[in-house]
Amino acid sequence: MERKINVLKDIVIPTVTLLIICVVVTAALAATNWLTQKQMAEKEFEKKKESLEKVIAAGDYKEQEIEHDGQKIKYYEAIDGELKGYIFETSASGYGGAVSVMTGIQPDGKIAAVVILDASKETKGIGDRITNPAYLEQYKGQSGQVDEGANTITGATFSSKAVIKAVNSALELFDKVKG
Amino acid sequence: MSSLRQEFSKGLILENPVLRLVLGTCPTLAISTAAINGMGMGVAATLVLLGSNVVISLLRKVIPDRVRIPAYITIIAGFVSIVQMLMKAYLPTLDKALGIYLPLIVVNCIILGRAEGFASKNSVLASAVDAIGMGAGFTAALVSMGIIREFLGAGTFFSLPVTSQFIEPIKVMVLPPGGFFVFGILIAVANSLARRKGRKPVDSLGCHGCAGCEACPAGQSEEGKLNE
Repeated sequence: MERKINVLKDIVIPTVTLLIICVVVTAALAATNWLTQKQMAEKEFEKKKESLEKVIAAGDYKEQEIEHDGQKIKYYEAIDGELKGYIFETSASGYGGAVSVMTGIQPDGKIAAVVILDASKETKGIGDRITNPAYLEQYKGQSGQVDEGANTITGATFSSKAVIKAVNSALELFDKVKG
Repeated sequence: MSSLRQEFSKGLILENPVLRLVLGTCPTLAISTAAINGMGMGVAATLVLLGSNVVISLLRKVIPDRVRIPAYITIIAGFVSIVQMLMKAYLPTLDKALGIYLPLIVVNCIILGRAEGFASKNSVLASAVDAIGMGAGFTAALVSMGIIREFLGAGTFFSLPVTSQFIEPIKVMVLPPGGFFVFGILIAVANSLARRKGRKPVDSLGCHGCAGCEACPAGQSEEGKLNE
């Protein structure tokens, strides 16, 4: 195509049009973000509270921090008049991605309860059976370290191992907190 | 009026984006493990499609030809991000289930295909109707795949237990191979339904079956014409 380039028509107008479109779209995104931000934070907080209550029911959860392997890790102290336990959020890689787990540990070192926060990367109907309460029930009362070989679901070895790993790192953190 | 109805209904069977045009296959296979995921993905894509079709149709005389593709992508990406933010704020569980496939709506060829192939040349109303029709076809395909795979592979219907208590489900149906089984069978069903209406199946694999044909240099070249 031999054609003389018209600066205004071929260069300026397309560039300016695209620029305007980008600016308008960005403004729309900023507005949506501003509108949904509060709702998002609220939803996240609500969800966290719900999980915390499932793990150890208490009136108040105090956020704490501990250094572990050079990283600051947040955990919660469940307080209901007295200290009812410690709650840790840990994760380990499963079959499709990270499985994140919330573990509640009583002051005496026994596991109060384990809840799966996120297993959405695990295979549907197979790996995600780790969210089954009947499976998680068996962690209750265990202490020290959970045996890696035990507590796996047939066909969901990777996902189950991820839960065990995550629970064990919570138990490790607990030892650290207790000193 | 009758043409508007045609614009709507063509997306359902005759030009069903998933089953007849075979567009957007990746999210279709990945998402349709459960009916509710298919529904969420379908509705999200329909909202994006509706927004982008309407805006692109409104701007079709303003956007210079040279920059139309970046302009379309910017608009589509904007709508996808808005839908994602809204979903994160109001339906966080669905957002988690859809995972990476929600932001990937940006590059879903159904959306760009409709923008380029339809909205850029038709009125706002027709484009909106086209978007709703295509979106409905996409949603219908995803939900039916989701229902079949979820029922066979997990024994549930929209997460409600049906046979899961007494029959061990056929796990493979929620895995990728099961997705292909159901996909193939649904394509066959859609083809036979479309044929019953007395039309030839869309030649989706040929160069001219592509939604972007009219704008594509290859489609307009002599060679492209020969392929027809």
